[in-house]
Amino acid sequence: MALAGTLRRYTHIGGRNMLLDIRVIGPLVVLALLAFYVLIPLILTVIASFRPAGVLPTEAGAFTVSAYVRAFTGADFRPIVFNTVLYAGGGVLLGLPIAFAFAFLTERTDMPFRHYMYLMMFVPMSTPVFATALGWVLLLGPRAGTINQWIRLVTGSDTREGPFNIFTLEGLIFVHVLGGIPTMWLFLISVLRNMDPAMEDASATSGAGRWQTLKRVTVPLMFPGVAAVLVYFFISGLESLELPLALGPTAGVEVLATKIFFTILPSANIETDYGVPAAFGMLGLVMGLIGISFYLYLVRRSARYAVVTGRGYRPKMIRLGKWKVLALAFVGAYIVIKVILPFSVLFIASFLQFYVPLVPETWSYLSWTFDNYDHVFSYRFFGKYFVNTIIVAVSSAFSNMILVTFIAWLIVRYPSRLTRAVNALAFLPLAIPGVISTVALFLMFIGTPLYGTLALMVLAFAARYTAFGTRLMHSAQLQIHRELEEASLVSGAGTIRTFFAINLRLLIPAFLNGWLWILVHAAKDFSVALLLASGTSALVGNIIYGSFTAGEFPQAAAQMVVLIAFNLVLVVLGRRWIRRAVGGEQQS
Amino acid sequence: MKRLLGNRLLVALLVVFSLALAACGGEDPDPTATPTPRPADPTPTSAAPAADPTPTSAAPSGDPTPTRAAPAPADTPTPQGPGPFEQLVERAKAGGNHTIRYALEGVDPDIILAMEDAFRQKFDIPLTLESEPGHSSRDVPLKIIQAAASGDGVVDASSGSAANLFGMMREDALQVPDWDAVYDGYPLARELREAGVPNIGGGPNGTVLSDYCMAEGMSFWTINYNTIHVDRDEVEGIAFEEFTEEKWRNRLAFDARALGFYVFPFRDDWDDERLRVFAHNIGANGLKLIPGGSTGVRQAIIQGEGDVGMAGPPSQTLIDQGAPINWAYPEFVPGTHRVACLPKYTAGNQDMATLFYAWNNFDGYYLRSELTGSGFRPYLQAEAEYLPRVKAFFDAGLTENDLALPQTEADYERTGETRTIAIEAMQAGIASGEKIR
Repeated sequence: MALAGTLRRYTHIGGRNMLLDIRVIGPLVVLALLAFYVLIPLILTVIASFRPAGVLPTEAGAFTVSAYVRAFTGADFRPIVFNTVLYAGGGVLLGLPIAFAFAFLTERTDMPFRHYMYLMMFVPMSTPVFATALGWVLLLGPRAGTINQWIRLVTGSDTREGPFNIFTLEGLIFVHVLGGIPTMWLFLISVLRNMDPAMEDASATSGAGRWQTLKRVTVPLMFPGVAAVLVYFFISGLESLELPLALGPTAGVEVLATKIFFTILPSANIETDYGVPAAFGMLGLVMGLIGISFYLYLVRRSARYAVVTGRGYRPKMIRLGKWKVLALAFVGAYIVIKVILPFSVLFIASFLQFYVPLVPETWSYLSWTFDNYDHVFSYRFFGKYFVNTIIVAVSSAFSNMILVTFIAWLIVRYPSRLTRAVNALAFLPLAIPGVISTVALFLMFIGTPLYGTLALMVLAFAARYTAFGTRLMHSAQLQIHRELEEASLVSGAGTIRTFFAINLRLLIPAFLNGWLWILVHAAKDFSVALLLASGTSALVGNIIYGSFTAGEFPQAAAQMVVLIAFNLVLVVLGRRWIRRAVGGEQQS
Repeated sequence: MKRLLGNRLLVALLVVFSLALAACGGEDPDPTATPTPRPADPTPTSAAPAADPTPTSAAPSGDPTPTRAAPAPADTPTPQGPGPFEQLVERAKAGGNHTIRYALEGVDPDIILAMEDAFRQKFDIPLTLESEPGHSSRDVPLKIIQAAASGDGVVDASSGSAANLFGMMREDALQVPDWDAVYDGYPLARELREAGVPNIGGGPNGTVLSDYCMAEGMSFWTINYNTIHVDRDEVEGIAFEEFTEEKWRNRLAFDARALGFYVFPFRDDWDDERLRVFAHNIGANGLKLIPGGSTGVRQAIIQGEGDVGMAGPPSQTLIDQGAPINWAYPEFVPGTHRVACLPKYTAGNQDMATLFYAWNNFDGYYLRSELTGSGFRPYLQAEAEYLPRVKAFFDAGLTENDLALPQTEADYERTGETRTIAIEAMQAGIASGEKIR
C-alpha cells in the first residue's frame, strides 16, 4: 500500500496520471528503445577503447589508455585525419551545389520529365556502393580502365597508363560526390518544397531586388535545412566504409573508417584488438558530436523558419524556356556518369566468363555466356536470400520511419527535458561509425537467440538510420504549424488519433521519401549482412560479396545486376502502393 | 476517415507481419529435420587429448616422407564391418538433422551440389550444405569463439589458416574429434595430423593444435601473370628480388595486405630487414596494391591492371576458359598451413558434423580438386597424383625445402608482426618512389 502510495505521489500530478500522458510515456518508451540499440553499443565501444589488446569489451580485465596512445601516436594518424576530413568535406562541398541545382530544377522549374526525377535519383541510390566502385575501377583503372584505354587508343598515346587514375584521393572523392548527390537532393527538395514562395513575392513586392530577396529571404529561410544537409553528409562521409575499402588500398589513401575496419579484422592471427579501432571510433564520435552540436544550435534557431501553415500554396514555377535543353543535359550527364557507365560495365561483365576490358587488344579474349545467371534464379542459392533481404529492408523501413516520425513529433510538439534527451539520443547513432556500432551489436547478441535472426539486422539498420530518419522527419515536422493539430484536438480527437489523422498524413511525402531511402539503403547494404548474418539469415549482400571474394567476378556482376533491378522494382512498386494507400494528392 | 483508418490498419498489419517474419530468422533449411538436442557435455566420445598420446605435429619440413604407404585416395576405404566409422555413419543417419553449416562463402553452387551428391552416394545420407557467411579464416573463427563463450555453435566444422585458427584452441572453442572413427574411415587422417599441423600449443590443459585438428592442406602463393604481356619463361623460378628491377616498373599488382610476403622471414636466408628492404623496393617500383587478397590480384592481372602479381593459383577452369592468366612457381613457395577442426559446439547434429568433417577432408577435398584444380598437401606424396598442384610442385623440381612456412608456435605468433613490416615498407616505398640500398 505504501509503495502504491509513493508511486501514485510521483506519477500523479494535479490528480492526473502522468504515466498515461503521452508527453511522459511517449519519450520514456522511446528512450528505453534508443538506450537498447544506441546507448548500449556506444557504451560497449567506449569500454572497448579502454581495454588492452586482445581483450573483448565484454570480458573481465584491466582498463588502460594504451589503445589511445597506440592509435594517436602512430605515423599514420595525421594522414588519416587529413584524408578523412578532405574526403568527407570534399564530398559534401562538391556534391551540395549539384544536388541543390537538381532539387531546384525539380521543385521550382518546368524542366521536362522532372516528375521522373524520383525514379532517376533512386536508380543511383539503389546501386550498391560496392558495385559503383567496381564499375569505376573497370572504367578508370589507370592501365586497364576501358575509358583510359580508349582515350589512349584514339589519341595514339604510347604510354600504358592514364590519363585518368581512379586510385587517388581525387578519384575517391569523385565517386563519393556522385554517390551522395541523390540523398542530398532528397533532403533539399523537402527544404524547397516547404518554402512558401509568397515570402519571396512579398519581398519583391516591397521593392527588394532579386539579390536582396535572395540575401534577406531565400537564404535565411533555407539556411537551417541546407546546414543540416552539410552536417549530416560530412558525418556520413566520416563513417563511409565501402568506397574507401574498394579504392583506398590501391590509392594509398586510408581514412578513419578503413582504419577501424582493418584494425578490427585480425590480420594474421586470431587476436583481435578492439582497443585501437574503438579509440579511432571515439575520434569519429568526437568529430560527430561537434557536428551534432553545430546542427542542434541551428535547430534551436529554426523556430523562426516555420513557414507551412494550414493554408495551402503552390510553389511558383520558373519557366526555363530555351534553357530546358541545358537543364536536361545537366541531369542527363549525371545519370550517364553515375549510373549508365558503371552499370553498363557490370552488365557486360555479367555475360562474360571472365572480365577483360572492351578494347581491341582483348577482344579475342571475350567469352560470352549466360552461365552467370544460372543460379541467380534458383531459390536455394539466391532466391531465399532475396526473400530475407526484402523482409529486412521492408521491416527496417517501416519500423524506422514510424518510430522516427513519432520521435520527431514528440520533439517538436512537446519540448521538455525528456524530449531533448530523446533528440540527443536519436542523433547519436550518426556519430558512431557504422562498423563499430554493428560490431558492438554482434558482441552483444552472439550466443543469444537473437543472433543469426533477421530481427537483429533490422535492429542494426534501426541503429544506423534512426539519425537520418529523425532529421528528415524533424525538419518536416518543424514546418508543419500546430494549428491543424490544435483544430483536431479542439474538435475532440485524442492525441494519438490526431498524430495519425492529421500529423502523419501531412508528413506523408517526407515519410515516403524516408521509407524509400531506408528501403533501398538496407537492400543494398553489405556491411550489416557481413557482420551479423548467420546461416539461414544471410542476405543478398553476403552472396554477392562471397562471389566477389571467391574470384567469381562475372557471377558477382550478374548478382549485382539482379539486385539493382530488384531495388528499382521495389522502389517503383513501393511508391505506387503508398501513393494509392495514402491518396495520390500527396504525391507530386 | 474510414479509408484513412483502413490504411493505418494496413500499414500496422504490414509492420507487425514484417517484424514477425524477421523474428523468425529466415526459413528453416530442412523443415522435416528433427533437431538434435545439444549434448550437455561437449566432451568428445573418443579419447580426450590427455588420453590420446599421439605425437603432436612433427614439423612439416622435418620428415616430409610419410611413414607408411597411404591408401590411394580413389580407393578411400568404405568402412567394413561395424567399426567405429560405420557406427558414426549410422548415428549420423539416425540423428535426423542432415544439414551441415560450413563456411562456403563464394563456393560455386555447382560444387556444393556435387559435394552433396557425392556424400549422398557414399553414405546414403541426404546432406544439405548451408553456408555460414564470412571468410573461413578471418571471420568465422571469430564467430565460433564468441558463440562458444555462450555455449552456442554457429558452424559444424571449420577450416582455414592455422595462423587464424589456433586462437580457437586457446579460447577453448574446439573439440577433440572422434579420432578412432575418423581413422577407421580415413586412415590418412593420422598422417595429416602428424605431418601437416604446425606445433602450436597453449590449448586447455596443455593441449596442442594437432590434438584437435588435422591438416587440410596449405595456402600457398605463386606468381600469377598476364599471358598477353608476360612469357612464362620470364617468371618461372624467378627470384622475388628481381621484381625490384626496372624491367618490372609499373607492372606489379600485389595484395595490399602483403599476402605471401609476410612469411618470407621464416626461411633461413631471409629476415625482417631483408623483407623490409624488398617490400620497400617493390613499392618504389610502381607497385599497385590491390585489395581483396588473391582473387583481387588475379582479377587485376586478367584485366591488365598489372602484369604480374603474387597470389594463389587461378582455378584451372579459368585457364581452360581462355582467360589471359597463368601461374608459375617462383624460386621458393611461400605458404601457411591450413587445418580442419571441429568446433566445441556444433550447429546441429554432432555425429553428422564429425562424419562431414572426416569426409570433407578426403573425398570432399579430392572432389573439389578434381573440379577446380585446387588442393595442395605436398607433405603427403601419396596424394600427389590426385592433386594436380602438388604434382606440378614436384615436377618443377621443388621439394618441401623450397617452401617458406611459419613452422613453430613462435613463428605463427609473429606472423602479424611480419605482415605489418611488409605492409608499412610497401607503403613507404610507394610514397617515396625511391629504392633503398
